[in-house]
Amino acid sequence: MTVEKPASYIGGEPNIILKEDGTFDVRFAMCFPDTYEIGMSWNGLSILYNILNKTDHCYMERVFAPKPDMQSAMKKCGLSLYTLETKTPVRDADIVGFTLQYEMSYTNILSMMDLAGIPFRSSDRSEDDPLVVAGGPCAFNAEPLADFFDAVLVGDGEDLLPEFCRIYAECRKAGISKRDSLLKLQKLQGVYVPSFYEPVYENGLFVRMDKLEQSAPDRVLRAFVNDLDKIDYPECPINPLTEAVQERAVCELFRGCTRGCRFCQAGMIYRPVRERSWKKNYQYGVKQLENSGYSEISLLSLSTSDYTQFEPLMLDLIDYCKAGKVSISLPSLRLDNFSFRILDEIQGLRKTGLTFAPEAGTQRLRDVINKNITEADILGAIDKATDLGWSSVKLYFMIGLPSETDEDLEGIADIAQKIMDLARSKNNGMRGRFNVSVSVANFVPKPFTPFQWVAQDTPVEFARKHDLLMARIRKIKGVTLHSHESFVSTLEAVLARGGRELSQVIERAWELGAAFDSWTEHFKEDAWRTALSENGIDGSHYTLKGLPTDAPLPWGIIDCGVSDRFLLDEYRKALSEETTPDCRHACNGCGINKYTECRCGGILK
Amino acid sequence: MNRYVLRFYKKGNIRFLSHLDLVRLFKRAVRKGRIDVGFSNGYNPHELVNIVQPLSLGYETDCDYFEIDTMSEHDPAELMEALNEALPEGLGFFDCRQAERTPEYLSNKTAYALYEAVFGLKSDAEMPCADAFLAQDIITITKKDKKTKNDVEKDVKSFIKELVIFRNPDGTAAARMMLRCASNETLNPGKLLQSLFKFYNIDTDVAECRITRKDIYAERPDGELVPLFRTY
Repeated sequence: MTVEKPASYIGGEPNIILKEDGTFDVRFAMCFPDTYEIGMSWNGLSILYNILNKTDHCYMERVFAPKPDMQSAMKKCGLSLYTLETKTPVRDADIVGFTLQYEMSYTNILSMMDLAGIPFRSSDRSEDDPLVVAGGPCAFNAEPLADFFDAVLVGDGEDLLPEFCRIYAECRKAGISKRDSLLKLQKLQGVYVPSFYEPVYENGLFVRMDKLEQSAPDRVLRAFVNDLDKIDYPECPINPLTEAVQERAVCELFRGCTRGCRFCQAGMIYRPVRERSWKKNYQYGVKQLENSGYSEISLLSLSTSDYTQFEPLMLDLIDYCKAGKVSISLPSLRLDNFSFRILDEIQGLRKTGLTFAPEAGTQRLRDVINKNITEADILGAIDKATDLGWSSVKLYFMIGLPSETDEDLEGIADIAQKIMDLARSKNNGMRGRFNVSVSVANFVPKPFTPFQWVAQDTPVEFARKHDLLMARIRKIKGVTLHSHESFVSTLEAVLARGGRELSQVIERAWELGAAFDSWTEHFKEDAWRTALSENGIDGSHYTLKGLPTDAPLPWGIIDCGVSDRFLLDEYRKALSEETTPDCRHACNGCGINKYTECRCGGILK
Repeated sequence: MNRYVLRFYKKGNIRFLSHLDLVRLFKRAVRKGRIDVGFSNGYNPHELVNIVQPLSLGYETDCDYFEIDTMSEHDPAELMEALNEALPEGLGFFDCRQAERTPEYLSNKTAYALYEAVFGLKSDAEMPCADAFLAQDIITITKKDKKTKNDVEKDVKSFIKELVIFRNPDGTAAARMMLRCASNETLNPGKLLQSLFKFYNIDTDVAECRITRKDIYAERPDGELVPLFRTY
């Protein structure tokens, strides 16, 4: 029997943490429901692994989804899913935690529970089974998976997760049952226990959430970390043995974003902006490089150039990295003058691609989505970029945005055309080649955004739009168009905004063979289509058709900190094409400062 | 610049680490150990390090070779210790010596490698004797053509210097193979075993054999084989 990339299943990587049995109270199996290569690139794992393993009471071990070939090999020889650190069966862990990073990883959760021999539904698990919990961005609406989890942890995990484990350890020591432990645990801010609630539906529409347990909170407020400088950050990241998608030291500059793009869930659920000071970032970055031997460092945030201490950090970091032959990667950069200077300096002669995300093709639609970037910004940046020697640019757009017309789609092609014209004119139409790659994603409305109520385009409509764009863009030399599979986007929309009725759809799709749904080569469209239709979910389902703004939402049990009122106001402003300024120019009253300190309101005024 | 040649072993689970992953791991160990490694010139400077002969995924080694060029002179023992710090279990350097810095790496000097393979054999099964197998006019292995991806047959008789089969005290069988291992011609011991198993109708999956490289050899002009470490 042979499997591909066996090194992803052996563990033992440099910088892992090993703890002896009996030196801790709780074994936490941290499960990433996708492959080793993808999971090892997730910075959150590095953060939580470091924090939890520094406690005496807890031992966090890593688990990833074995690829299909390894899954069948494991089944064939009766090998149960194990942790990479100590090769302990996941079933024997005290807590099994799944991170919910994207909807299309949900079926892998079931594959992993199946391989571990853990019953899927919390109601089917006994006192001897592990407590199964989840966190991550999709935990803000974990309703589609609610039947599978004993508890869902919402918000920043650095303080919450160790405390959760500590309390659970105490409960276990005292011989307290799972249910009674959950009664204690739900008192922690950010802990949602699905079995203490029951959603009520009328005519297929969610109408309210009934409490089955009187002490359960009416709404579960997300957990906050107020000051990033006060929490621990990893200095010794684990070196993946086999090549991971991203293998580099990572500085998390800040969490949150002040831009207020209306489609963006991260921009809402990670509010407010919390910066880590540049000196700390520099120290962590250098320590990570020294302790890992990586030759690349990446600065992570939702909008890197908004970091107030970007200049001092970059100046020092560039010096360090030049001396040590380390390359710097800067995702999410806005191309202002300083950024260009930096990019020019760190990329030197070898220019990698430039990326812009105008998201929409016309100023009107960009105003609707509150994406504060103008055509002049883009063309100005291209002008500079061609001068400095860049020869390719990538553009990201979304289609199917609220109020979108064909004119907005034409606008996408127009921008591409203008960029090509500009690039050609600079080279007198003669010298060198210039490439524009246009990538269009299908818009998926997400919970806790101002667009959480809107309908998604039908697959037919997406296909028509793809064709329309293709017909236009094909005619422009040097421009290529990339689009996404529409049915996957439909599924994403269903899973993102669905309620508990989705649990059986996911389980059914998994039974029919769905797994690794984000991998084109593994995606089983038929399995999903059957599972959806068997459960009566079609285009008229609320997850696709949209929701009334005056009715309760299935995910309303969670409070992300941004007020419902703000989201609704933003939705209304979107429909009247009104923009909302960046929070740093004026506080827009999103309500987050009711719960935690927001240090960015109006600082640029 | 100074050249050091290190010998290393790779045993246990870490045998599942591929050659390219091993190169990356060693490069990180060099950075982690703050070794002043030399860099190539050009657009994309890379560390001047070399693993002398790649080892197939899944094979163990008792003695493979790693070369590194450094800017300053090092105490070989200290250099080895610094590099060993960063290695996972099952992987380690056990010898480090300074060598003359030549334009070519040792990879160009290798001629043969010695392997030992252990495989299961039914207790009543007759012990195959390699003689009949070796007496064939041609000995073919099946391999994938790199371009067409089709299976092609190849005669490798001239690549086999020695092949001995014997039974271990625990009842398993073992093969000792001295096979061509040069920069332009190599014979993978797994492929040869496959051919051998086919010849003797042995029902064993090569993927389940434990294959270990014992050492790599250079060939003297008179044909004598010497372990590589005696040549630098």
